[in-house]
Amino acid sequence: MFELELRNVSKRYGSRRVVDGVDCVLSCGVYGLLGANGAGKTTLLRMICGILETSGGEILCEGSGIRKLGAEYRRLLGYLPQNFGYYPEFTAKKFLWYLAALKAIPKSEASSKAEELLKLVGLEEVKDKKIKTFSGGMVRRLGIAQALLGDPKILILDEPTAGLDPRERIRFRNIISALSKDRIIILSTHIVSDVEYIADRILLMKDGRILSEGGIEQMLAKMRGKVWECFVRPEETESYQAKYSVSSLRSTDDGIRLRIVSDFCPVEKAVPADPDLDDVYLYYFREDDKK
Amino acid sequence: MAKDIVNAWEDGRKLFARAAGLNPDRDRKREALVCLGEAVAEKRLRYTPPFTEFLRIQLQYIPLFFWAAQGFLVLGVFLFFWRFSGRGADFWAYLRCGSVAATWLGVLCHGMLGRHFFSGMSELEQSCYINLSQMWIIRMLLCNGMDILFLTVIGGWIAADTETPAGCVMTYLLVPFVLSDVCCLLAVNMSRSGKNRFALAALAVAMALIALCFSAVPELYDAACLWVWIAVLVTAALVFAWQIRSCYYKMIRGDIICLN
Repeated sequence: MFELELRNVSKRYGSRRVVDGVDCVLSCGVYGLLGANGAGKTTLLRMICGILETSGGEILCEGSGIRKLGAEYRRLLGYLPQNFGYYPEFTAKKFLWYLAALKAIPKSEASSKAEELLKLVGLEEVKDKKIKTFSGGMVRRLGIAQALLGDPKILILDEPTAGLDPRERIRFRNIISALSKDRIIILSTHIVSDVEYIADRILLMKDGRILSEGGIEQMLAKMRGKVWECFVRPEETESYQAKYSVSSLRSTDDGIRLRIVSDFCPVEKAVPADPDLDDVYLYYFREDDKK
Repeated sequence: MAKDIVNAWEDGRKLFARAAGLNPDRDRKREALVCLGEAVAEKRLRYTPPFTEFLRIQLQYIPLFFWAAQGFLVLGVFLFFWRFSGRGADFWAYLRCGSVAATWLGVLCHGMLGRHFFSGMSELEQSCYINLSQMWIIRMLLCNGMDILFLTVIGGWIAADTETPAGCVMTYLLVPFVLSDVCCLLAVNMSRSGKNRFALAALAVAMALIALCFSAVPELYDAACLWVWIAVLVTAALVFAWQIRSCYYKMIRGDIICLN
């Protein structure tokens, strides 16, 4: 099976460790890389893409170092950077042709592939319009289309749904789900719902390290008994929020209903609740004084 | 040696003779063919573009603005030279025009190369099969090669019209060209944001003014000063080569692509 292995991968900028000893083996499927802003997700993805050199450790594709593989490794890649740039005077079609040329896709295939991808992301109607006239969501969709050029075995998407409206998000999820069978897809985001529906496995990243890795069910199982619901008086809300990680707060006739993520029962009348992925996120990324 | 070959041939012949009497297992043969077919279907046909294709891609996607600006500049210089051409042509007028054009050629080249960074495409391009560092080097060679060719033509024109040694004229033209390259690359390296376009435009004006100021002092072009010009040219060329090497390795490491 096609595999990508990260062995003790780290990245330092001066004395600051942005990525700190990441170890994992990725095989075909969708991986959701979840973490707060500044957790090191983008740096890790850039290293996986071979754009950024590692300070330590190595990244192996099918057992060979990606730096050594060079262009042959890049041929397997599809990448959507977080800050997706473009040449404003290019039309959507020309942009895809340009990237197809850089990805060494034969000219004869490039044209039909570009048309097919533009249709897939819903930009068929505006394929001859200049990118500078596109909205943020359209640019992002073009970014997704270019990442899919060349049928990549490794698809790396950094914040792919930023700027997409709910309908476009659903379309994106469907596209990724359909592609996930025979390739490695890594999806970095801090939006939990993005990965909830499509990721097979989740990698939680904090301070440059992978805190936890596993399937969604596995993650949720680990959280059982750590999510609580209780009703409090409105004036008590603030103190609970200061003391615990509150994942939701709703005003009801019986008072304020709080959903609290905590290792122990926060208040006598609190009842255990079924955890969801938001709770998992909050549990791992809560502030240190809210344990 | 010959005996070994004869033995191997005999062994092979016996093997084939024995195989002729064997009946292949049809089912296993079919299974093996299916497996082979699957393995072939799994293989991805890979197209490796030849170098000429690589060059074609680079030329095809160089922005139109660059070609237009370069075309206007070349045409402008040729029109100017044509106007002054003939006997008794003014060496200083030629030199002024040539020096200003030389500085602008450098600025245009780096404006085109810096575009990868200004537009935010560098990260994506670096992840492609033909990556940014390769494109950058090829475009740098193409662009500077064309510029040097153009400077050689106008250098030859000046030399022929003013009866000045061609080597001297080329040195006087190449110094502003290489210095302009050095300054532009430094500017692109210092900041890769879109605002850098304005820095390059300012640099174009400043370099042109400096070139005009130099050509207004005829003493600087005395034969006695030629060795100074040569020394400046060699030093600037070495600095430029070092800058290109440093920039290339920074790109490979990702330093100038991922950090701004």
